[in-house]
Amino acid sequence: MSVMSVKTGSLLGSLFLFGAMRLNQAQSVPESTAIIKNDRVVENRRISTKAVKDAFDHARSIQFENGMDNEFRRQLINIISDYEVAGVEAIRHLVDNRSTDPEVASMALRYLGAIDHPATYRQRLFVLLHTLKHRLPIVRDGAVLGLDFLGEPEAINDLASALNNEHDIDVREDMQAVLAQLRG
Amino acid sequence: MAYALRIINRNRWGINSEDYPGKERRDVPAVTLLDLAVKNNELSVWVVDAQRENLQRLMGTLSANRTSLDVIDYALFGLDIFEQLEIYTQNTEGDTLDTYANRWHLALLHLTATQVSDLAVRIWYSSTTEIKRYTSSQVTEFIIQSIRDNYFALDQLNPGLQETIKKKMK
Repeated sequence: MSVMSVKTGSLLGSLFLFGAMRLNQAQSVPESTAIIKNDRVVENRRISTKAVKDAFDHARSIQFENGMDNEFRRQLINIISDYEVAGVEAIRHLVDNRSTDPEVASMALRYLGAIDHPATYRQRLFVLLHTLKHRLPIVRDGAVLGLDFLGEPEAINDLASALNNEHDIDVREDMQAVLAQLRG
Repeated sequence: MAYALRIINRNRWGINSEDYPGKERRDVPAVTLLDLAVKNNELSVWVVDAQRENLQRLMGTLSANRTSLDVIDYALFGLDIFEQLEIYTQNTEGDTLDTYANRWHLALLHLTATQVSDLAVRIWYSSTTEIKRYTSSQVTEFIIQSIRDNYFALDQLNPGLQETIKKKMK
């Protein structure tokens, strides 16, 4: 992804500074995050990328049921709660990784949108918009459903643009439903 | 014609896919059987009237039975499939928060392995079958509407879902 490829006027473009910093790191994952309270750093935590990868690997054996809690969802909540931006970035890294199970990646995106964590809102929004261009329909669908959870009207332009390029019937249906919802 | 409704996971039912296991034999992917998992050789479905007037209420109460807010996927197909497969059906009380909607529950009884796999094939290939999804936003509206219509109360929901719906209602 290059700066030139970012569509003018899209939210993804405006969030690009966040993403460019990370996307240009050649798939590296930040391993520490500063926990800041009252404008001072109170703790630096190292994120265990292996722990995040283990969570994704173990999730391969889960039979995901819509609306039912599961260990993977709980682990993602903990990762984001504990590691904030670095946690989101570690998840994005695995979603983008070709060896990640597509259903697990899709569910991760859905949960990424559903998690109630204001401090990482913009980062999670960026990851979901970024993943609308994923090569696999099931993963793009996870991003769409994640955006539905966020309910962010600023995502309309990017979602509408993605809809124009979407060929999968099921993903298109979800995009149309979420767009209608966001447009109120 | 009334319909039968079965809650499924749409990702397992790639009816619109260009290719899937078994297509050349008019068979279906084995993963669909996960959505037809029996308990004591029985399976739960719900009856939706011909005008689908009870569909949203049904979606509201079925979604309210879960632990967290999410999409709800369902297969809607003709009740005649059960007769074609000689599946024994019985109206029994459902187990949701909406006591009125519970009367729309239909139990499929004494099922055999062949009947279950044939059911998956019939659902997949029936021209009247619809595999549909309501998004989490739509599900939210159904649940909130059901609460406002006093079909069930907010405090009856599972704690995680209750917290989410409470925030949405503000």
